[in-house]
This record gives sequence, structure tokens and C-alpha cells, in this order.
Amino acid sequence: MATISNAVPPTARTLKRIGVWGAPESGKTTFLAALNVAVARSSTDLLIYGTDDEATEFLAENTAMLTSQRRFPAATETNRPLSWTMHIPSQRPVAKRFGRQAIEPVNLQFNIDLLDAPGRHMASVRLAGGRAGEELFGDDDPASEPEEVIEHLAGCDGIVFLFDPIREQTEGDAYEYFQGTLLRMAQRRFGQGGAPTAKLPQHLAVCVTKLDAPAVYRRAKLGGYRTFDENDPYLFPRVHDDSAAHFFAELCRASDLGNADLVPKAISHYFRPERVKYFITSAIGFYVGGGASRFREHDYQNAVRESDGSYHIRGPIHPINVVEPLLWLAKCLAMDQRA
Amino acid sequence: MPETGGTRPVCPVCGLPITEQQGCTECSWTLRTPRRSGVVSAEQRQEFDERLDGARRRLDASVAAIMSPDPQRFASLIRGGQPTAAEWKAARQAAERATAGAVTDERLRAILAEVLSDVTAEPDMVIVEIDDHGITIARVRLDGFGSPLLHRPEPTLAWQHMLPLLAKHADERRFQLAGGFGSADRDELWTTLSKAVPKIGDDRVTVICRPPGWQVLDRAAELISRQAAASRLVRAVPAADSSSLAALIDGEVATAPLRRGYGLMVAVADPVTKEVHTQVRPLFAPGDRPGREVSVAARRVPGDRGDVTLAILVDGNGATQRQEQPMVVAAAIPQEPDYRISVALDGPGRIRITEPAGTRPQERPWLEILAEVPHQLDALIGPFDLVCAIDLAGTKAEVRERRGLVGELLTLLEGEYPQAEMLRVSVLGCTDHVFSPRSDRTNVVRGAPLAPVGEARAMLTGLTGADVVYPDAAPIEDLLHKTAGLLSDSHRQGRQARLLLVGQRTPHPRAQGPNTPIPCPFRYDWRAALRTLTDSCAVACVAVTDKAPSRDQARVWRELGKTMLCHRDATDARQLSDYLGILPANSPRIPIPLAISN
Repeated sequence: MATISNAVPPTARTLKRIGVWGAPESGKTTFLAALNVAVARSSTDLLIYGTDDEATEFLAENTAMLTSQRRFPAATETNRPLSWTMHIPSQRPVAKRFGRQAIEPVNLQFNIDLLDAPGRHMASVRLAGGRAGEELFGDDDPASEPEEVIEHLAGCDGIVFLFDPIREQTEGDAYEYFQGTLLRMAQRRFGQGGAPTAKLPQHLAVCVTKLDAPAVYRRAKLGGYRTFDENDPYLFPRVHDDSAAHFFAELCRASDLGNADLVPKAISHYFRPERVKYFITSAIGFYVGGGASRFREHDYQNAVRESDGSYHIRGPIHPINVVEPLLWLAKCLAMDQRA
Repeated sequence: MPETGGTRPVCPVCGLPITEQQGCTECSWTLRTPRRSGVVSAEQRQEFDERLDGARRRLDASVAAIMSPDPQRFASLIRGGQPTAAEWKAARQAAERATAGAVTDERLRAILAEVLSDVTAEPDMVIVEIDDHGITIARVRLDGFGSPLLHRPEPTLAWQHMLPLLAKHADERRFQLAGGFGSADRDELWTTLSKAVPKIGDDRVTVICRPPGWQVLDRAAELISRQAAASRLVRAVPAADSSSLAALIDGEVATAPLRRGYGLMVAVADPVTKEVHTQVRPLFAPGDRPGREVSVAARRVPGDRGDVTLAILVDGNGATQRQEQPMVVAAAIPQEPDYRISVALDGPGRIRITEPAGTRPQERPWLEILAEVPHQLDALIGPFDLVCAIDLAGTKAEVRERRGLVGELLTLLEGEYPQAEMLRVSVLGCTDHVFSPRSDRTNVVRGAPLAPVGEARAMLTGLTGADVVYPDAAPIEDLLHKTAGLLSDSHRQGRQARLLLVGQRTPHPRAQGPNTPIPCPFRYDWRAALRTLTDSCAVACVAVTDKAPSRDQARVWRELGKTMLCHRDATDARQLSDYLGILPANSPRIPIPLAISN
């Protein structure tokens, strides 16, 4: 959840909420932990800090986990309300006399209040111990947690939805997690007597994670989605936002195990198209090492599997498209607020 | 007047039958004088007796002097009493004249050597020995080795059987043989002798008569010599050591130089074509004399524990490798990979194998054994260069078993190839690439250059294991790269190169792929290294995995184990040595010595 303000200086804040949504192990915690690194590496003059000790501790711990220990953060096991304040320099049009308009700088300042919920709370059915069958919100589950999570997402103004194509290849459960939560969000939005609209009002940043994974990168390369930013000193490959939606749809269609191909349709059914944007991301980025100063096609894998099945990070992390979804959401929400 | 058998009067001195002559034609004894009147007085009789005794004594003394220089040796057989010193001296002088021309023992040996060297395949050379025991006939022919072989088909013809009229007593008979006939009928003696001497036939004859001057012996020698168209009569003095002529001939045969060379049948293998052919490796050359000992270096085909057949053949003269009757013995093949066959020449046709010990007659037909020599050895006999490359990362048990298998193999090979020139081994071990910025390019291969097996075994004990840090691949590509360097010159040096790869995980790729492990930090290309090994270096690659690999792994391991891929539980050191072709299990045996190339 995020609260956002575009006042300079901010005197009052209208809270806007951004939620992070994704299947278990889709990289939600890592995404958030990489945010600090992404902010630091960003060419934009961004600033992020925790609003309390716990959020600051979370950010510091997980950033150190990624950069120093070269480990991935452990999966979140309990609901932890976290909140950061983020400053984003931006510009806005200002009406002048005689009908003229001018552009003036504005400092978008918003709080990211995040309920870093474990992914299993977002499934349509419980997957305790990897087995399906029990209702997600069964009696033995603390009622407050799923309710809080669904309530959180339903009340969000912006949502970061993480789609893990690697997990989809092996587990095929993206749609399962997606559609259950989506139904409950719709229930809370439209089922309380309010005037129903055709679509959910939230802005949705669909983030395809793990571009650094060889299978994802190769598909991007072979599909012609790969681009390079000439301003990037590392020349990391990316997928341009304009073609990200197509790449996402292609990845969903490629799922052999589940029904991920239904996810794009569900997004278009439940969200307003102008409020949806797609990003192809990587929390840790590609490996650059061995004396190289830029991306190397033959040796780029940064996540190294270990004998116990866990992964460690091979070299420095270079997050790709981690901060951009939040920037886009912030701008969208600021526009909403001004309107 | 004495008579023989009471029928024919003979000379009272020498026993020659009396004729119409007044004096004995042999000893000049006056046989007839004009009659005179009156009674023979005692003085006249005494004077006659003394004169007769003297004549007899002088005659017998001359016989005794031929037989012995000792006047006392046959004194009892001398009629007329003990000869005076003057008489004995005269007798000895006469004996010397009678035996003049007799050859010495040394000269006799030389003559025998000439005779033996003159032996040809046909006809036989006959050597007749005539001595105081009788007449002995020996035939000398060439044996299968082209050496004179003395053959005595019949025993000695003893004088007492040939000439029964001679005295029964040995000394008396010998005295008679030497010429002391006494009153014996000389005509009958010669007649009997001429009938009794053996018939030799058309063979070439050499008659050895000794001692010289013995009348019966000389006459017998003449009779036999006259029978043959080509004969040689040799009168010889008795041997100083009283050795018989047979012993003398045996000695000459034994010490005679070889007339033809001898060789050992061996197999020779071409290290390139692996074809096997047989050849006779020379041992002794014509002219070599007994006492010489030579050796041939041979090699046991690794793994062969059977018998080896040693066949000595005569070289040249068409007596080729297919000679049907060589001297053939069998022996247990020595345990040493390289061994020597030492052959001593005891004499013509007499060969003694001094190495290997424990030879025994080969009971199987030689040609049957010869037919078992294979035309080709599929897996040949080196020299080999072997690299044992082990993934040292894994659980302690896994690493222990991998090292154990290689250790067993090296122990087995050390017994067969102790010398570095036949087998050089390098043991390499790798631990995992550590994918972190500081460790990425750390060398993960340990090992030593090619060395004798014993040193490689010591190296193996120093290769300790490590934990797996990257489960999806092992630095097999680093091992292959290192191996390619070690074996790059082997083929050029005529050495057969082998690689044994032991592990479970597959190599890192050279470049990142969609479903591949992280690439090798050194960018080694395991397929390129493998191609270099198998194509350029002609390396045979055997791979051993801990267990059956997964489907994806199996595809890679099949490439790595191009020659053979097996699992550790289903193989052992003996099988591995077979797969590697270093100790081929089913290689045909070579029943004769495999010679080391000159």
C-alpha cells in the first residue's frame, strides 16, 4: 500500500495504496528488497526511506542480503505491515495567464505501505505443504490474515502484480493464484452496494520477473523482444515497455502445465486498459563479472543454484525495471489525485 | 718242432708256420740245418735251449716293450726269462720304431674334429675304433640341428669272440694281440680275423687303431680300411687318461662349432597396424662354440598368465619357421611384464634354457601351437598414456568410491606396467567452480604430469575430496582441457592415449543456454576438447558414472564415454582395464614369446 502526495511542500497527504500481488516465490520479497538498490542505481534523483524502524530494518536487511551476502531473502511467512516514503522528482503542467500552460517541477512524495503478505494467502485454495484442497480461508487459518490481505489489495489504488514465468513452467499455478484473489477483490469492490462499474479502478503494473533467467531471456531474444538502451553503461538487454504486453502474453501462452493463458484475458476483463502497464523485470539483473564491464551473451546467469536447492547471487545485482513500475504507478496516482 | 694243434709245425720262436725255408721268414730263427751224426750232447742241447730262449725272450720282449715301457709289466709272459737290460733297451728301440708315426692324443682330437666337420647328410661317416678290447663301430650323421650326432648301433665286438683261438686270460690275450703269438697258428689267426672283421659297406670310413704296433689290431685296421673306397687309417697312441675313443668323439662333438645357426621363434607385433607375424630371432651363429649364452628380450602380453612355448629352430638352409621338429619346450610365462629368455649352448644340438626356469617338454605338436599365433592383436601392448580424471566433489562416500575405483585400476596396471616407458599415468581431480566474483577464475583442477603408475598412485592419495557447491555441473570441461594438453603429443610419439573419466555431473557449457548450467568461467568448450582428444590425439575415452545418469545427463555422458560408458556399481578395475584396451580380457593369446622390437 502506498500513500502519495504531490504537494510541494507537502502539507497534507492523501493516502494512496499500492499492493504487491503474486504467487508464492514469485519474487515479491526480493522485488521489494531490490527496490533500494534500484533506487540507488537509478539515474533519477529518487529517495526512499522507511517510515518506521521495522520497515527500515526490512529494507536494510534484505538489501544487505542481496548485495553483501549474495543471498535471496527468505520467503515471507507472516503478514508484516511495512511502509516507506519515496520521493520522485517529476514535472506537471501549470495553467498560466492568457490560457498559456507551463511545466513546473514537482516533487512527488508518497508512502509505500506494504503488507508483505505470503503468496499462499493469495491462492484461490489453500496449498498447505504443496497440496491443494482446503479453502484458503478455512477455520484453522487466522481469519484476520487473509481478510487483511484481500482487504488490502481491494483497497489499493495501484497494484504491482508479479508474474514468475519460471514458476509457471514448473508449477503452472499463476492463474490459480490470480483468479481467486481477483474474484475476492471484485466481490469487495462491487458487492457492498456501491455502483458497480465495469472494471476495477486500480492501476495495475504487471511485472514479469526473472528476465535474467536463461529460459526467459532466450525467449525474449528469439522472439525479437530484446532491446538495448544505449545509455545503459552495462548494455543490459531489456524488453521495451511497448512490447512487454505481447511478451507477457506469449509467456502465458507458453505455459504447458497451467492456465496462464487466461491471465491476460482476466486482466483485460477486470482492469481498465489505460490503467494497466506491463514491465519485464529482473530483481538481481544479469551477471557481469570475470573482468567484464558489460553484459556478456555467453555468461549472464546471476542466480546460482546450490546443492541444497537454494540459490545464491553470483555477482553484483543490477535490478531491471524494479523502480519503473512504482514510478509509473506514482505518476498515475498523482494524475488521479489532481483530477 | 712245435705244432699248432698238433698238426702243423710252427716256428718255435714266433709261431709262424714252418715252410720249406731254412729260416723263419719272420723271426729268422733257423728252422733247418744239415743233419749231423751222433747223439746230441747235453752241452749241445743246453746251447740250443739257451739260444732258443734268447730268441724267444728277445721276441717277446719286443712285444712287451710295445705294450708297456715297464719291463716288469708283462715279464711273466716273456719266454726265456727276464730280458737283460741290453735286450730290453733294444726291445724298446724296436717298439719305438714299430709305433713311429702314431699320432698323439692331441693330434687325434684334431683329426676327429676334421672328420666331424666333414660329415654330410649322406652317406654316414663311419668311425671304427680298434683297441685291445675289440672293434667298435660308430656312425656319425647330422641331426635335425645340422650337428654331428654319434650313433652306436652295435656294441663292441670283443676279441675273445672274434678270435676264440686267443688265450682266455686277458693279459695273455692282449699279449697275443700285440704280437706275442707264441705257438698259436698264425694262418688260422689271420684267416679267422679276416672273417671276423665287420663289413662297413660304402660309407666313408675312418679307422682309429690304438695302441699302435699291435699286430692283430694293425691287421684288423688294414682289413677294414681296405673295404671302403674312402677311408682313413689313423694309428694313435693310447690316451694319457685312458679315455675311450667314444668319449673322445663325444667330447669333440660336444665342443665342435655350430655348423648352422640356431634361432628362437618369436612373434613380432606392429604397433601401428597391430598385425602379428612370426620370425626366428637369431641365437647362435655358425661357428659359435659351446659355452655361449645369449638372451632375447620378450614381453608378456598384459594379462596373459598362460604358458609360453619356446621353440629353437635351425636357421637357414630352408629350415624355416615351419620346421616341423624344432626343439620345443614349454614354461610358465614369467610374471614380469618384460622378461628374458636365456639360452645356453651346451653343444651342437644341445640347448639349455636357463631363463625362464622350470621348462618342460612341450607335449603338443609344434605346428598346432604355431597355428595359434593370432594374425592381429586388437588391443596392443602399448606404450600407453593414461589420464584418470576424477570429479572430486561429492559426498565423502561418493568421492571415496571414485578414488577407490581408480586406485584399484592403478594397482592392477602397476603389476603389468611397472616401467614408465610402457605406461605413463596422470591423475587429475577437479572440484567445483565457485561462482562468485572472487573465485570465478580459480583453477579447480589438481594433478600431476604423466608419470610411472606408482607415482600416479601416490598422487591419487593426495587428491582429497570437497563438497559440491554447484550441483548442476562439474568442471569436466576443465579436466578435458587439461587432459588434452597432457595427451597432445602421445599419438605423435607412438603412444596410445587413454582417458578414464569418473564422475556423475556433466560439464559446464561454454556459453549460457536456456536450460544449461552456468558456463565455464574459463570458457572451456568440453565438446571441442573432447574432439581434440578423440580426433587429433586418437584418445579412447571411457567414462564411469556413480549411477545411471538422468536422461539429459546420459546424452552428455554418452559423448564423454565414447569408447565405453558404464556405471560404477556395474564395473571393476579389471573391466575398466579391458574397456581402456590396456589389459584386454579377450585378446587372443600369443603362445610363443612376443619379442620386444629391436
